This record gives sequence, structure tokens and C-alpha cells, in this order.
Amino acid sequence: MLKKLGLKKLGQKKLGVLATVATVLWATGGAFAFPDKPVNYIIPFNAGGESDISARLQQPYFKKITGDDLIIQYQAGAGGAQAWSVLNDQPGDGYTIMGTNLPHIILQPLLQKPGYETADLTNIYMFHFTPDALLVRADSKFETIQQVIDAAKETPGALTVGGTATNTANHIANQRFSTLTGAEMTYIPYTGTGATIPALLGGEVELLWGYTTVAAGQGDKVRMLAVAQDKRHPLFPDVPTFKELGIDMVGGAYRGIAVPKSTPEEVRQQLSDIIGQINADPEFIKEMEQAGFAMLDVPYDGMEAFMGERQKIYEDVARQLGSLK
Amino acid sequence: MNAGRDIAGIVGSVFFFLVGAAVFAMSFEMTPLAAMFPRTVGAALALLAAFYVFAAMRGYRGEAVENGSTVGDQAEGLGRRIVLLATMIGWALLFPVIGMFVTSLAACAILMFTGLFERLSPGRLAIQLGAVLALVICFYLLMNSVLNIPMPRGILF
Amino acid sequence: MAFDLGSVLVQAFSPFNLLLALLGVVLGTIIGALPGLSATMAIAVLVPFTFAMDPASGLIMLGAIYTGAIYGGAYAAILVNTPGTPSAIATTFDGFPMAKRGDGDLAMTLATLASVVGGVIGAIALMTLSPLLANIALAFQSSEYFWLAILGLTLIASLSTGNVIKGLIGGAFGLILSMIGVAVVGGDVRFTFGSSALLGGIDIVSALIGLYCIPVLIDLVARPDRHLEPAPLGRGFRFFEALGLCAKNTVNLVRSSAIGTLIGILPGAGGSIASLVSYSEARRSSRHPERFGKGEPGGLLATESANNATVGGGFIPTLVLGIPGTPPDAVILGALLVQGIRTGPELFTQQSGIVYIFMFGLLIATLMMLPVGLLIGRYAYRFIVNTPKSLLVPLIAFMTVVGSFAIHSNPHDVVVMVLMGVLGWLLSLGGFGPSPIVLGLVLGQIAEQGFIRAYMIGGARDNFGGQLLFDRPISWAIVALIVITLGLPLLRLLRARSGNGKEAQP
Repeated sequence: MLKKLGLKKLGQKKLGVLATVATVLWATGGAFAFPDKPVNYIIPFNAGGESDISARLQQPYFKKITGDDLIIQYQAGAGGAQAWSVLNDQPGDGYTIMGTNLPHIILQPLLQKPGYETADLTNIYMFHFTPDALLVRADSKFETIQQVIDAAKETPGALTVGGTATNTANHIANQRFSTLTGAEMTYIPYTGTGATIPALLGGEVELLWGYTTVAAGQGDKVRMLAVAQDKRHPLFPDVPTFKELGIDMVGGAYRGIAVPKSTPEEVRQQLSDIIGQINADPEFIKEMEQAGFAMLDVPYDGMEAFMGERQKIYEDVARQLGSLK
Repeated sequence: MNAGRDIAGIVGSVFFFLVGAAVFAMSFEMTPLAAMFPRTVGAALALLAAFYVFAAMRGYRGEAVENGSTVGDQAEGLGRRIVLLATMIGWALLFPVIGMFVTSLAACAILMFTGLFERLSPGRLAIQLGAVLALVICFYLLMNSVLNIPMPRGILF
Repeated sequence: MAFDLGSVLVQAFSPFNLLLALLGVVLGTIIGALPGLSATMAIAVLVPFTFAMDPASGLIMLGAIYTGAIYGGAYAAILVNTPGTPSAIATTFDGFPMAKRGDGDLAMTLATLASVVGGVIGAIALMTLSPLLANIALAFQSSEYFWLAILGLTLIASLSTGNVIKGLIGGAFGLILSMIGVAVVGGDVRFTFGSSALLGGIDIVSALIGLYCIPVLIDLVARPDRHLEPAPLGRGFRFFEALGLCAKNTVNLVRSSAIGTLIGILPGAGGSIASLVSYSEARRSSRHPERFGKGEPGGLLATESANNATVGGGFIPTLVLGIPGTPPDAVILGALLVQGIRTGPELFTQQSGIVYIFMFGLLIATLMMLPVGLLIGRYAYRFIVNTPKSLLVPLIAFMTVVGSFAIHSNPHDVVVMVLMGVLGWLLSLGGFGPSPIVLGLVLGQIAEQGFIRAYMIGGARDNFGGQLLFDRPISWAIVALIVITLGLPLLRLLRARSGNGKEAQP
């Protein structure tokens, strides 16, 4: 009882404090703590993608903190919609959690009928994001964003830029970039991040809307022109942010964790705290950043404000994309 | 079976003609890029099907496009076929509601009798039922516990 | 290259790694044999265990599972006419007729031998030519994928000799099925009729299971006779007979393995196209094309060697470029990343020890497939032949339901599987076989996206024709193959008609 009260209060505080205090609490009250059996973690995408990799990185820390396993399951389909549309049918005991992705869970209900509404998903933590990045081949003539903008303005639509599918984070990034700078490029959709890389390296497209993870994986074969982060990514200290260049773009694909609606309030908070603890582990941060991810800490009590803000941004872009059709 | 017109082929082709025409018509509600393939393929399907109906009416009949499973005399064992299909459909629709284990056990038992052609002594019947039970349990455990596939539990199990 | 061959060999052949390779091959074969359970799934389940091992051992195990699972796909294809994975589609064409007439033991042995040959050739290509071949992954662009898909579709024409129109109708229907769901280009929601369950489209594997397996089940319960003709007792593996057939098909095996390796390198093509194209090539260059589809060993050898060669081929872009060649490669790549191993050119220079241990491990695992496969294959065959129908029917039916559910843990896939099965059965009554539909379904997305992307890029560069064909030598080559594949039978037919008409089919 004491533990529950303590955690509830702690949830309001800053995360760094929480992490240390919570560790002590877990160490002392571990025997009675949630969870006391393995937790199923459903990834709504195929194994091997960014959602899977970040979950795999979380796995050992979850075990370290709680003493219980985090079992990763896959339920891919319809860009994640298939799993999200059945999340609330799962038992709400905290032992079933599901990865969620932005902008997917906002854009899908806006543009299609995916079988769920954004409000149906109870997000308890947003733990990282892969910032949008504009990439070129290492031997490309483009060295800076300005050169791209100039070339695109000279012959609108002649430059091709690849990205993943339509109405996705990449597509939105392209639309926002175009709105903010007036640079018009032809957006070429591919089936997944994996398919975009050979397209860029093989010269089918001149530029690529990708993520920092792509640049981290491809090393010196690609050049990142700018990243859509507030601050420069620790792995790429030389790559400017769009903000530095006067283009107000911060965003990418955000990843978090949601629980079924029936999950009690205190379990939501406890899960949020566990994920927060994992996110505060310096080793975990190092591994995530090495892979190109950018850390993000939106705990359960900050979720409403965060989702509200993203919802507004994506609605604007969706309107622009809709008017394009 | 070899005499007369290819009635079944004509019926099938009419179905395909309707599908092709519908796809062609629906493509006009799509954005230009997404409409390109449905329009082409829909038109092609409708034309091919219409051509086949025309040819078959005039007495053309080719061989069946078939490999592997042979479609023999369809009247034979019609009752069993219908039981099998009904079981499969019921199984597919009910297992998320009632639960994988119970529906599978029931369906497998029904199918066991569907596939049974000779009379069995009660002892052998019990062995076979036991084998079906073991089969369902083994697969269920393999999926649920080894491969981490969340099996729907539904109302019962 | 800074690595010591001796120490690599010692590590690759360490008892622990050998044991892992053996375990991996056995597990992979069993999982691959069950329709719906894929190599991707098996690998994903085992990835956490490999974190406890050292990276090379973990990799060997994952590679062994992968190659075993691709091989295992042949079992269900031969014994119950159900391709458990898209890469085994063409295996059913000749494998099941062979089993049906009582040559199931020979078919299993042939599939094993072909898989080993294909796997070894793929692995050797991986070991020796990786950096060179990786460039192929980059040279193939949207237009080439489009033409490759069309080349695969030409197989419809040869599969449906006797009634090409029905074959083409089936193919077009399959193409339409492939369009269901959210369009990658344009983002339109197509042909879902408001159902959110169809947004993700029709899953290929569940459609495969339904179209091929439900008619088999229906046949099984309709008649009291046996599912497969049993082999006479004491005939053994028919190993030397199979070896003799392989020797006769040496060119076929090498060509199919080469096709498998090359197509395996292409991210987004994979085992299905590789085995279809090599089947089509084997049929085209055979002296008896009319025997294909009726239990011709050459067809079985072609598909099984090609799909196992994609394993080695698929690792080439995965290890050299960090671009997964196939979905299982993506999982392995993710596992490497989590272990802190960077793929790419550095992998070959800085961590070459691990890479070469892994490659040797893959080779060993492939070779182990021979004894393991012969043994498991023999028992699987006997099991299917000797199990009474009353148990075989629930067993196969349960596999179809559980297998199609397992693909995405999605109940809708099971409904799709059953509906496709009923549809496939009804259509087969009208003489429309399942294979053209399946080819359309499997190749539709690749063809459509390839064409539309080439169209968009061509539009942006004001050079559509060049982008699609004229400026692209690889496309020329594929188009030439398409013309030959379609033209040769026509030419033969014309010659037969103008001659004494001996070869002309009635």
C-alpha cells in the first residue's frame, strides 16, 4: 500500500529523481510488486523493424528492474492498425502491453477507417523517437539543405525524394518541408524503410526522407543534410538541425507503449514508471543512441498534453495532404 | 463429362466478368496513381472473361487449368464435403469468440468422424479420439508457449 | 583481409557450434514444414536465446534455422500440396503429383538433395563474391522489379497450356486480389468495402494455405481411398536413384541455384520469385516441357535448389550493405544491431572473424541438412502415408487454421484462408486452377509498385520510357527473357503445325 502511494506521488516529479528513488522502492518491495509474472509486449509490426529493435533493447533492462521477463510478440498488419484495433479486447491486468507509433495512431483514424480511434489507445509512455532526416548519397552534389531548396525551386518536382508509403511520417515530413521552404519535390513511396535504402544508394531517388537510424546503419555511404530534432543528435554532432537552419521541423516517428483501456489507473502508472526507469538507465540510453534513436520521456501524466500537441500538427498536415488529392 | 459446353467455365467467367467490370468502375473513385492498375487489370479481366464466354458458347472447351489436387466426380461424398466446409467456416468464425482450444477440439472431433470411412471398435475409436485430443494439446502448447503466439481464449478457453 | 583461416575453422567446427547448427536445422525443418509458421517467426522466437551466446554462435544458430525452415517448406508442399511459404509454391507443381503417384519418398530425397546443392552454392557465393554481388541489390530498381514480376507472371501461360484464357483470367483475378488494402502509392483504401480487417490486404500465406489445402481436404473426405499412394516397403531413401536424377539435371541445378542466389540478393523479391523464375526456366529449357506439372523431378529440383540458394544470397546485402535481403534477414540484422555489431563494409574488415565463422557455420548447417532432411523426410512421408484418414483430416485442418492464425495472430487471416479455400474449390469446378491466382496475388504488388514508381520517377525526370526500359540494360535482359519464354512455345507450336503435326496437342 505504502509503495503504491509513494509511486503515485512520485509520478508527478521529475524523472531522474524518480528513477533513483523507484529503484530503492523496487528493491525493498520487490516481492509484492507488479509485475510478478512475464509481461507480453505486442509489437504491431514485423520483427526486425525499428519498433522491434527498440523493444529488444528494452527487454534486458525490464528483466533487470522487475525480475520478470518481457516477452515480445508480433501482430503485424495494416501498418499496425490490425493490432491497435484489438488492443482493448486484451485483458487489462498490465500483463499485456502494446507498442504504439506516431503519427500512425493519429493519421490512420483521420484518413482511413482502421477499426480504432486515437482516443481508444491508452498510451502510458512515449520513450523514444526516430527523428526525420533528409539524406543523400555520400557522392551527391548536395552538401546543404539550401542547395536542395534552390535546386527544387529552380525546377519544381524534378527532384525525387524517397520515403516509406503514403500518409506516413516520411510523407508528412516532405509535405511540411515543402510548406515551410517552398521547395517542391516528387515524393516516391516505398514499402518500408528497408526498401528505401537501396533506392537511395542505387541512385533511383536523389534524396531520401529517412531517420537518424538509417544514417547510423549506413555509415559513410550516406550523408545526412539535417535532422528534425531540437538539439543535434549525439551520434551526429556535425549534422545541423532543421531548426538551426530556420526551418521549424521537429518530428519523426514516435514510439510508445499503450495498455488496454480496462487497465487500472495504478497499474498504468506503475508501468509508466518502469519504462521511465529503463529510459533513465545510462547504458540503455547509450545503446539506443548508438543505433540512431533519440530519447524521449513522456510519462503517463504528460501524455494528454503531448498527444494533444501532436494531434494538432498532424491534423494540419493531413488537411494539406487532403487538399493535394 | 466431356460432352457439351463448358457450363461451369461459363458460369465462372460470368463471375469474373462481373468482378472485372466492378473493379474497372470502382477505379474511377481513386487517385490517379492508385487507379492505374485496377483500371487496366479490371478491364483486362472483364474482356478475357467475356471472350471466354463467347468462345465457350460457340463450343470451345480447353482443358482444365489444374495441377495437384484433382477435381473428380463432384457428386461423390457431397455430404462429407459440405460437413467439412461448414466445420471450417464455423471454426474460423467462432474461435476468436469461444476460444482456440475448445473450438479446435470440437472441430477436430467432427472432422475425425468426417474422415472416417470404416467402422471402428469402441476401443480404437477411443484411441483415435485420444490422438485428436493429444494433437490439439500439442499444437496449442507449441503455439502458445513455445512460439509466443497469443492464442485467443474467448469465452471458454 | 585480416583473418586467420585456421582459427575461423576451429571455431566454426567447435562441438558447441556444430551442435547449435544441428539443433537449428532440425528446429527450422520442423517449423518450416508446418504451413503458416515461417522462418521469420522461428528466428524471432530464438533471438533472445542467442543474446546469451557469443555473436558467432548465435548467428550460426539463426542461419541454420533459416536454411532449415526454407527447406522444411518442401514437406507440406510435397505431402499435402500446401506451400507453407511463398517460396514453396512451385514445389507443389511437381512434388505433389509425384507423391500422389507413390513417388513421395523419391520426391522428399530429391528435395533434400536439391536444397543442399542450392544452399551450398548460395553459401559459397556469400563467402567468395559478397562485396561484388552486393552491387546487384543496388542495380535493381523499380523498373527491374516490375519486369521481374512480369517474368514471373509469364509462368501462367506455361502452367495453363490447354486453356491459356482461363489461366490469364485466374492471373488477372489474382492481381486484383493483391490490390486489396491500403495502396502504398497514393494511400487509397482499395476494395476493402469498409472492413478494417482488409486494410492490410489479403495475406499471401493464408491465401496460399486456403487455395491449395482446402481443396485437398475436400478431396480427402470425399473418397475413402488413400491420400497418397504408399511406397512399397523396404525401398529406403531411393538415394542413388535421386542422385542419378540430380546428375542428369546438373545444368538445371546449377542454373536454378544461380538464379536463386541472384534473386535472393534483391531486397523485396525473395524466395517466391526465385523459385518461380527458376521453375519457368527449367521448364523452358527442358526437352520435355509437357511433363512439367505432372510430377517431373526436374521441376522439383529447380524450385528447391533455387529457394535454398536465396538464403545465402539474401545474406549478401544484409551483411555487406546492412539492407536485409529477406524478412528473416531483417530479424537477424536487428539481432546483430542489439548485440552491438555493425553490418556494412566494416563488418568484413573489422569483425571479419565473426563473419567468416558464421559463413562456415551456414555452410556446415546446409550440409547437415542432408542427413537430417533424409531422416525427417522419411518419417514425415511415412507418417502422412500411414496415418489413417480420420486423423489426417483433423491434423491438416488444424494446421491450416492454427497456421494461418499464427502468421499475424489475426483471426481475420483464418477467415480469409477458409474463404479463399472455398472460392478456390468452386473455381476449380469451373476449370480455373489455383496457381494462376496465386501467381497474380504474389507478384501483383511488386509489379504495380515497380511500375508506378518508375512512372513517377520517369515523370519527374521527363523520361518515362528511359526509366522503365530504354536506359536500363538489366531491364532489357529481363524483357528478352520474357519474350523468349512467351515466344518459344508459340514458335514450337507453329513449327509443329506446319510440319506433320505429330507433336501438336489435340
